Amino acid sequence: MKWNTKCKLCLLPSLIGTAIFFVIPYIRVLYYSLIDNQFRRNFVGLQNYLETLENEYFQLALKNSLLLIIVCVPVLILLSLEVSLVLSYGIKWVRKTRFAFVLPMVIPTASVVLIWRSVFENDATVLPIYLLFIWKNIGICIVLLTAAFTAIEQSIYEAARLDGANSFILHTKITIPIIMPTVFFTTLLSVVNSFKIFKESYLYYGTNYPPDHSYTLQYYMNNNFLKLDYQSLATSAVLTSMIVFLIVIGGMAVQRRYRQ
Amino acid sequence: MKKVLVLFLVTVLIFSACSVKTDNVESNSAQFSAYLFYEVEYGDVKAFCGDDKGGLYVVASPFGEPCSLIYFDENGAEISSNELTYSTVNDMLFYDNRLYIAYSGYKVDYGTGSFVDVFDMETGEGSQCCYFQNLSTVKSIAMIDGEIVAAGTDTKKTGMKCTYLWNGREEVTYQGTAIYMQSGKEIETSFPMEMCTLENGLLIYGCDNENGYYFRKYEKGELSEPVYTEQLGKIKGLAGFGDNSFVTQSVNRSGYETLLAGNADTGSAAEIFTNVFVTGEYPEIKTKGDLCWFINNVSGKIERISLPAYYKGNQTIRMLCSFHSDGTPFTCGYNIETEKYGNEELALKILSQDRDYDICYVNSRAGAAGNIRDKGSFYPLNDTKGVEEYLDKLFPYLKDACITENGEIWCIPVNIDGQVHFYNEENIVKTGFDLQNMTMEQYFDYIGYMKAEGLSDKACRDSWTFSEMVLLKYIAEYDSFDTPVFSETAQLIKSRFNCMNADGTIDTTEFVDLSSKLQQEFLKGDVSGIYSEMHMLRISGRFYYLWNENMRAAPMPYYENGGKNLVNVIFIAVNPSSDNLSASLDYISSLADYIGSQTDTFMLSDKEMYSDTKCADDLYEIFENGIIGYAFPDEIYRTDYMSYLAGEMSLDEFIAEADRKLSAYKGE
Repeated sequence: MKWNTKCKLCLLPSLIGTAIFFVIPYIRVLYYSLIDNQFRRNFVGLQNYLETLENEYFQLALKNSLLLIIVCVPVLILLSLEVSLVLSYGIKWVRKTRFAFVLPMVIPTASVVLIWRSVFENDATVLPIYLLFIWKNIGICIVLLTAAFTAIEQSIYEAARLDGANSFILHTKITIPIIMPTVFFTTLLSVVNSFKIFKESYLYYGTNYPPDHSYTLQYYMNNNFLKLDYQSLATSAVLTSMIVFLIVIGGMAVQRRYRQ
Repeated sequence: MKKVLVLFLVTVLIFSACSVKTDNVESNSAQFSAYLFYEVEYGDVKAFCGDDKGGLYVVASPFGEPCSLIYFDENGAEISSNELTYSTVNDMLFYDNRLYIAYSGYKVDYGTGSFVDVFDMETGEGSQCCYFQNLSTVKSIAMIDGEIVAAGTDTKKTGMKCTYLWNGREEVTYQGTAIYMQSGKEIETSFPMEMCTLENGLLIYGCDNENGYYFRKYEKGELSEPVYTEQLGKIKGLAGFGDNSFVTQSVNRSGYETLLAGNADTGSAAEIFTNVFVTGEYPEIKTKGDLCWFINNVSGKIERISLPAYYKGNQTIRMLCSFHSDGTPFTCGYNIETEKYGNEELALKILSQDRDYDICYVNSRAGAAGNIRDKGSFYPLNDTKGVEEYLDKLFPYLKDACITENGEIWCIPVNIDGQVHFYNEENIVKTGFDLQNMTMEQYFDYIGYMKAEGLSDKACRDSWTFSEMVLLKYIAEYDSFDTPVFSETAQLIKSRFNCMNADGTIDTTEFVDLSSKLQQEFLKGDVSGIYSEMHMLRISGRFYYLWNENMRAAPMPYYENGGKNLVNVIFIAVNPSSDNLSASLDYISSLADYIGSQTDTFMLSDKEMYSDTKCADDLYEIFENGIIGYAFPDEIYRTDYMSYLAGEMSLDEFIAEADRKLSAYKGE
């Protein structure tokens, strides 16, 4: 058997699983977004999309979700970079505390939210949710970026120094280009994770109707599910996936261009 | 005794010469296949049984008069009526063109015991068939393998008691019951209560101390293993049909009498007819082939139905409902299996259109009700037999609620209740309150007065229910909490009927059911008034609201002129993906036909369908001017409302928060 065939055979279970659990349900959701009702099943074209896009609460949710990405993801990546640098090249005893940054990933969300609620007394701003997002995701970002930093061969730096490169040149010409794919990946991961902040937010506010500043797309979808509005749910799910898809495609394009 | 037999012989021989009366002949709709036979006065019917042609023999003894044997033909026409010399008859049986009559008493030649006489309906000859020495009274007789079997009270078993706690609460005691065959052999089973014949033998319903109620068959001289059942409890009357089916009567928890049919092999039964009246004094339920006779409590007549038209062979309809829902609609011969879910699970079940449920039972007061109405996809009932006709009979707002924007009928309403204040008119007049025309503040004054007068345990339901109803009524009529009316009402509730205890718990201590005991107090004039919802009673159980001629019913005060009365409605919708769709639609059709023919439903607009009492008139007006209150999920306003009542939130904060959530809920 050829190597390629073997590889394809090995991939087959995964592909089947993806098809069954992701592709087929997605197609079904897409179908439901184009009909008027799951029983009557009259094709209505883009009517559901137009109605959803015109819905003021969908617009509010979309705005809040994008705002979360625009504000939190850069902060998260910069903070992670900073911490990773310290962990990779900083003081040795600090490096030994790196495991602490993984803790947010393993501590149950409910207990974290409990602590968070005791820190913030009112719900006037979105700050608690933003901080919660950063705190929850910084661990995985640090792990990935630290791995990227430590993977750089020291011999490359030594060779550059021998050629007369200063610190600025070392980082701009060696460090950044080498870790850039990881930074892109971490950024995309954080963007995707920003759409999963619902659980933390829900636990924090304890309601499906949080203050307007924290009302994200997940709330919109969850509430439409509870209201049995399958068409709105399907439509907003497709729109959300398209947004994520566009962000990922955009990120990959930027990365490709950067490589070139 | 010979004189009695000769007299009876003569009466039988002159049957054909008697005049034919047809006064009692009526027929209901073909769907119900019911024929009215005999108008029953209290205590006058001693026994009855059907013959092979569908005719009916009745032994009746109007008060102070001797017994008569009356025969009605298969069309319900009275063929003959002849006097008998029996002072009383316990049971009768028609078998192989012979009429068997059982009675208890004393005979010089035999002593005290129970006797069965037999009369050949062709020759007119009569004789004593058998004598049961041990039975001081005979309850019922049956025929198996050409031999008479009698069930009754055994003098040898005096003092033997069966005590079993049914469902852990009701104590049932039977003393000294036994079944004997004509040969003198006893069919030994513990505390038999009822028996009847099946195609191949005898069916016994009894109770034993350890395992409770059971069915047991007696075939070819052998008793089967008991099939225990907790569903029926104490029954009255038992008649068999087919090789394993039975008809009986039981009083359900709503307190009304129901005819049930079921399968003896499983012990389960389904409701097939309401208002079936069976007491120890009256004869019971009788079957012959597919026909069943019983006394209808409403018509006051012995009626006959064709069982296949009612009994669906214990087909099961699986019904989804939310945890808030209570009770089941009339089952129309089907076995209704209920599954209760929380709002989210219910939504998931409905959205996914699971095949494993057939109908959905939606209480407008449950949190998911409005969503289910707006977005749930159910089978359109426009073409389902009888549904449109039923909707046409309803109050217009109920009909509208069943029809979607595109004209599809998504459900039928099966029950209704609302906030009603029942009161004793005579007593209330003395207090100076005019309950029919009060402002909300006056109404609160009145409730306060009732409590102050020491009627707090009867004056109203618990404060929480009361204040919740006030809020639900408000939200059914208004789109925002930011109104002077709401502010005023909320402050009144907080200051006067605050349901939140200091420790943060909810006060539910004043709850009292509008029970029959309270009705008795009403009758005596001891209770001035009761704030109560009209409970989700089965429709036929409502008549007791209307008993007392002094009872009146008042709506809750209106917030503004032209206001409506909040009503809660239970709807039933059909799952389009059900793998039992045909039966589900047949059930809906039967249910629509059934409810549409009931009196005092307070859903039907025809005034003729209601009792002629003041209370019924009041309730008709209240429910005619109704508005359905679809509850919102708790978190929209209820949780914050409790915070407001507990003093954790100011009124302004509550209004702002509740309005924000309400706006989002409606807008998203």
